[in-house]
Amino acid sequence: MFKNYLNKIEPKNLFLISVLILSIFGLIMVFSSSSVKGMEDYADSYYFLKKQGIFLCIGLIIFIIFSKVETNFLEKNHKLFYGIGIIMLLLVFVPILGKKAGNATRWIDLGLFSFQPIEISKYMLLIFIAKHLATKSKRIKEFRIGVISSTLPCIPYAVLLIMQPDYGNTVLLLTTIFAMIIISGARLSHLVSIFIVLSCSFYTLILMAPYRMQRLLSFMDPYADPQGSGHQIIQSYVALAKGGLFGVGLGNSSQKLFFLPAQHNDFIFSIIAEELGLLGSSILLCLFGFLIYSGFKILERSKDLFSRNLIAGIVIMTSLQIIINLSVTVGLMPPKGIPLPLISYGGSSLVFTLLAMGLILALDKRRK
Amino acid sequence: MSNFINQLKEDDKKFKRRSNIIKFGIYLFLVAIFLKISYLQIPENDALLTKYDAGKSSSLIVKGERGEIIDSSGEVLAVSVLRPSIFANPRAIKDRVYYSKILSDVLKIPKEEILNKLKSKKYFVYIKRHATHEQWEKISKMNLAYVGMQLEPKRTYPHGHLAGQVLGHTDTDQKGIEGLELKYNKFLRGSAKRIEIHKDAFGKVITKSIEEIDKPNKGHDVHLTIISKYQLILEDAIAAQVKKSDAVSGFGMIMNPNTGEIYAMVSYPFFNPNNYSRYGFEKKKNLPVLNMFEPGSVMKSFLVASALNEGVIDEGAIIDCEKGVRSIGGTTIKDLNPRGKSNITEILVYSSNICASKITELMSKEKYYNYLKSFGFGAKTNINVPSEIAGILDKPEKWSEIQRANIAFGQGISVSSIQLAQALSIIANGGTFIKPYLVKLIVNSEGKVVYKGERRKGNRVLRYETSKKMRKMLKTVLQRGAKRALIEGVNASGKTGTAQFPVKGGYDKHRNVVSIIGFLPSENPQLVAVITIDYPKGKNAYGGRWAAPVFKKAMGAIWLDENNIEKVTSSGDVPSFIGRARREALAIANINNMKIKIQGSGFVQRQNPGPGEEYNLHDEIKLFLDPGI
Repeated sequence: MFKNYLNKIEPKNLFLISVLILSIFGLIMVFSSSSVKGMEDYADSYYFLKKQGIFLCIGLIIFIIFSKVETNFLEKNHKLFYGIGIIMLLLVFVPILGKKAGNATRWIDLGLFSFQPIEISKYMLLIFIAKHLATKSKRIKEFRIGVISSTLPCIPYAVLLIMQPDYGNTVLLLTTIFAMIIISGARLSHLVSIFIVLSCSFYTLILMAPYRMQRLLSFMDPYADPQGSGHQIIQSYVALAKGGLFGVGLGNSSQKLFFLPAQHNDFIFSIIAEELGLLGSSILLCLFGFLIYSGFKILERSKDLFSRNLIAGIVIMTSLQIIINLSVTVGLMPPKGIPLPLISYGGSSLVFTLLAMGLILALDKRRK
Repeated sequence: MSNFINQLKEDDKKFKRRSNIIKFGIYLFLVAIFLKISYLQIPENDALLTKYDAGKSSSLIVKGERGEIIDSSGEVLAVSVLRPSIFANPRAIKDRVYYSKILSDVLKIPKEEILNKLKSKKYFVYIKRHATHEQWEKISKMNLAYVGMQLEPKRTYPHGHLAGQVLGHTDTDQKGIEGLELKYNKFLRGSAKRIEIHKDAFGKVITKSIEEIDKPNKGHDVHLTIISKYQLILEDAIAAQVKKSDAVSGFGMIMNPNTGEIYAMVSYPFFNPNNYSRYGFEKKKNLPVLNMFEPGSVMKSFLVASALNEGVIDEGAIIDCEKGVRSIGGTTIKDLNPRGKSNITEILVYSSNICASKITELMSKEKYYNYLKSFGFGAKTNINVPSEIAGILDKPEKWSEIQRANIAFGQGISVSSIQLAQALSIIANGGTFIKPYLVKLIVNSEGKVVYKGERRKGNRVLRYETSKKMRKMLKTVLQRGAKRALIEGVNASGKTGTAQFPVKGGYDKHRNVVSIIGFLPSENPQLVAVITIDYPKGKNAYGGRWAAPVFKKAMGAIWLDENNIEKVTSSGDVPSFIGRARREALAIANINNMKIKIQGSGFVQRQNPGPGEEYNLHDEIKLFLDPGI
């Protein structure tokens, strides 16, 4: 019955509403989770709210512009975009521009603001692969086309990401491309072979440095090292446990008082669950569910192959980000450094997620 | 063609199927996440929380604001003011050298000291507690990250060294350490209360219940009998004389012989409790109470009073002073001014030790000992100054003949200024023991009086006639023996004394401790003063030379002030209140039957209507006070 009712809603509207509610909800939670940190670091509890608010405005404008844009230029210039994507990732390694944070160099510092190029580059790769799969759709069942030529373009991206290093986004990107190839209709046996190759290469990567394995598995038993690798997960558990059914109330989280690192970006969901309880976290899950549901509705009614592939890429990648982020927060996956789309603090992530969401609406118009 | 369409349909079906598989996979993950969230959020997970929830609230003891110490005219002598304490998070600061340079410039602390603090591994260090607001303003303008401020109460003494040794001081945490701050700590300190707090991961307190902290649990205010204006007058007079005579120290006090109120209590060199850490133990000592010294000839006043009261001599008695030399039990005693037969007044004027020894011999040892006891010597006055001692007064059984003589002229006995003032008050007030006191009122934060210091009369020590005779006699003694003490316009009575400073096995022949005790007006005494200068240099190091002028200067100024209350002219003009202390202003208004409204504390700076303007009945004269010292 509920599904019938949901079916009656125009997917475009459901999608639009989900995006808007999620981004505004995100802004509120960024404020709630960052006010103490803002006060501590910048003597301004509104510091992060102000920044995120500005980015949300920019993001929403871009969202509207891109939802109306003529999408042919994407197809035409897909090779150019591919190149730009690589250049962006290379910029990280330019001495003055690249910004080191922790052990990783993932940021470009332009003085006025800094951003993570992967947030842009990943969409560039999606556009290229979408076009590639679309033009080669008739021969997709051939191993050379379906597997080799579709996966080879990903290698420079993957290598550059591993060099940063940013394993989270590497996994995200490759899994998305894999899913796009599945949807394009590649042979099952071919897909299995990609899967095996991917798994093997990941395994090798881990074997190259044994500590990675240990770190990778530490999420399964955080209590083994509660002060070290298990700290984030335990504190996240504490936040969720404190939240209970109805939460401690908006703004009342005590885990955000620096017990939980990255409380306003990667671990913002813990604060949401603490302050709003199971009720709030379920509502948030439903909102994401609507977003994904309507995204797939739009995907299923798409007519041309390019928009089908690109919508699939964007919807799947966004879904994967949601899944990875939430799984990390609740201890189902090892920490990855993937923000929660539309919710987490972070300008580049927010703006480009909104841009991609706008593109879905623009691509939807092409079916006429 | 149909084949192609079929192919397309087939493709489309395949696409839908594959897209559904992926969609299903994604939903499966979301359900798994939801289940894990439910698993974590639904059961009460106490074990987890007890073990790992560092953000659990804990309790904190919050101390209430410390009460004020206020003088008799409403002047605030000690108050707790909120000052910014500047702290930093050394863990977060990167450019420590730059920070320490800036902070050192503003706070005037050596750069190295700050740098050391910033190098610590802590998340929180105080850079400077109780900095000034100007300093914090400067620092906050520099936008130094990880440097913050919290307001902390600091004990402040608005008048600096004024009555410093009487007040004492507190430590950085507002706990009384010396003086009245120590003795009345349990009244002054605010009541402690427990508050539930939350701390962040750095241990900084973040509480939700701020109003709870603000609830009043302020300590009591302590009102003193001290009058700042008189205190200042006596301080100035003693300080000037100590400097002039190059003496070691000077101390003294002024009290009301009829009520026991102490108006001034001075120790010089001064002690400024605002910077208490810069002073050693000696300079913090409240000398009029704690310094026990041999009083010398001033004691002859009490000898004569006892003998008169006992009836062993009368005012007209003539005693032979033996031309300045007398042998008692093998020891020779001498007079500075050798005389033959003299009357009692002359004996006091010329301060004959020989005649004093003869007078004491007229009474039994026990008798005179009992008199000294009832004057209050050899016992604590219980003035509530920390570590008061009784002084030395041996039991009469132990007195040898020479010691008996010595005690008669003030040697071999040690007393404090407050004991002398207490004893002299008996002579001045008509013969009854009166207990001196410093604390007039203790008032709690709701304005309720919890303690009232009152005039406490003790036993009659002297008959009224004896007191009257002594007032008159001491008037002559002062007039003839200590001209430097005489005050124009009022008769004063008193006695000077000079004693040598006792050292191990004898006396320091060069170090004289010179004193004057006295009261005025002789006919109806209102003020008693005891003043001592320790070790004035040069010739003539006598009480009459060095202590007497202080008496004149201080008592003269105070007497003038006490009686300088204007009566309004019949025309109904507004009198001048300018420069008056609160107490005086009230007195003037009272005499003139006028209503006044006082704003601020200290001395009157402005008044409305102004002096000389017409006064309408029912008008209120507004007085604006400001601490001007």
